[in-house]
Formats: sequence, C-alpha cells, structure tokens
Amino acid sequence: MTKRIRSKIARGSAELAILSLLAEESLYGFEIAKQIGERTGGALKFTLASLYPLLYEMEKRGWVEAHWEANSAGRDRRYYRLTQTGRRQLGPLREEWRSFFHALDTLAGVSHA
Amino acid sequence: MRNWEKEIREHLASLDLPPETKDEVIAELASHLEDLEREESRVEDGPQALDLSGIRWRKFGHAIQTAKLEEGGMNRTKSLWIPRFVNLSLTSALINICGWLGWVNVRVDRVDLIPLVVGPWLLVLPICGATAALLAKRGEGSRATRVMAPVAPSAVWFATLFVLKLIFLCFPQTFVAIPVKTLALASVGWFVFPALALFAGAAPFLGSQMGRPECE
Repeated sequence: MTKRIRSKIARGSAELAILSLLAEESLYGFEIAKQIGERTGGALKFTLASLYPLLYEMEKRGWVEAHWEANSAGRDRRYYRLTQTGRRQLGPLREEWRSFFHALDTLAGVSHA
Repeated sequence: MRNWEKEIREHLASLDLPPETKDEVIAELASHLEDLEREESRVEDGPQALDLSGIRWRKFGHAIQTAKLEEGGMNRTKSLWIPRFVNLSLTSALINICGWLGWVNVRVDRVDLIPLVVGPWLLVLPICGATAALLAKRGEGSRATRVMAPVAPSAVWFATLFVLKLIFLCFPQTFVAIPVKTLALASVGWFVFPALALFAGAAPFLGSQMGRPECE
C-alpha cells in the first residue's frame, strides 16, 4: 500500500471519528483526542500535531464550528460543534467506510465490528 | 506547571498567520497541553513531565498554516487578487500620468534607459506598494501574501520582457533583435528597481506580527 493511500485512509478514518464524536456533543480538542483513544481502546490515537490541523481543516470546510468557553480549572477551552454541513457529511462517510470494510471482508476475510 | 504558551510560541515562531489567529492557535494548543499534563499527572499519581520531542514543529506549523490560511476563493481574492489588481492598475495609471506630464519617455529602442527615464515614476511606486500591502493585510493575508501583492506588478513587467525577448528570438526577420545585455539592463529597470520601490512601500505592513500582545 502506498504512503499516499495509507495517509488517505488515516485521514478519512480520523475525520469520521471526529465527526461521529461531535455528533453526540460539543467537545474541545483534548477531550476529542481522549475520547477517541478511550473508545477505540487505543487503536486510534491523536497527538497535538495530528489533531489540530485536521480540526482547523474541518472548520475551514464548515463541517465544525468553534467557540471559546471559560474553564474554572485552568485555561479557556475552544469547543467544537458539528454544523449542518458536517452532519450531512457524516452519513456518506459512514457509508464509504462500511463499503470499504465490506470490500476488505470479501477479499481478505477482514470483518468489521 | 510549565509555561506552555511561551514554549509553543517559541516553537511556532515562524507561523505566518494574522496576529489574532496565531494567538488563538497558541492559546488552544497551550490549553491542550495543560489538560494533558494534568491528566497524566492524575493517572500516574504524581507530576509528570510531558515529552514534546516527538513533535516536528516545522511540519506541524506548516500544517496549521495550510489549514488556517488556504481558505476559500473569497479570502484568497480579498487578500491577494484584489490587492494585486489594484496595485497593477495604480502603477500602470501612474506611469501613464508621468508620460502625459512629460516626465517619462519610454522608448522601445532604448529600453536600457528605462531605469533612468522612469525615475519620477519609481518615486511614487512605494505608495502603490503600501496600498497593496495594506489591502492584503486587511484581507487577513499572510506575510508572504503581503509581499507578493505589492511586488506583483514588477513580476508582470518582467514576464512581459521575457515574452518580448522570446518573440524577438522566434521572429528575427520581423523584429529588430534587442541584445541580451540591453534586455538584462531593462530587466533591472522594470523588475529590480520597481520591485525594490514597491517593497519599500510595503515594508511597514510586513512586520505587524511582531510585538503582538500576549494572549491570556
């Protein structure tokens, strides 16, 4: 598998993970990374350098929007919320991944959860 | 707790974003690291030192900049294309006014004299450069954009000269060939001098990211 394809898969899965989380509730960057790590048992991990460029890219596309909220325990936090455009992306993205796993399953016996 | 904001600001010093955007990014990243440090200390039951050596800051900064700046066509239009167009129109209009006033005498057969005969025009070019840089800045253009927009006209003139030379080379029977040395001098007159004059006007608008207020 070429680096380009790997990178596209990683990016696509990361987008789906973030959109799915934000469909449930508004979250700030650290919490997004933490929840994705916990819920996937550490299979998907976001670092500072991998998370924020992606969030900013999604914000630019209008999939998410951000606002600052005060935090009594420390610094203010920038919360991300899914927009209508983002919500519309979620369905097709899920379908793409379903098809992808189905194809892999057919080919290599890799079944999805 | 470490001063994350200071550390990130140092690592991302070359990040070329509008000041308020850069401050916001730094504040958000600092907030993330603060949370991470607190979380790791809680899990490990004691203060933990975060190791940021794995972060390739240059690449990270570039990724942030790309995500933040290369926005839709509208912002690109506001920060680059409109300032470029205004600049090119202004500079072209001014050289025509100079010609109309008799200050400039551009002779095709004496292109090497252009740096001398367009002297008065060069003197007003900093105003055009400043206008373009100001428009680019208002359009939230990056520092690179604020350089590109002001010097754009000189690049256009340089390209024109290059095309002219190509035409002369392709049709030597039709056109009187202009020697390479003459064209080189003309390039200095049409590209280097105007670019310097335009850049001089833009200079005050390029360093605005320095000395910006620290975000809380």
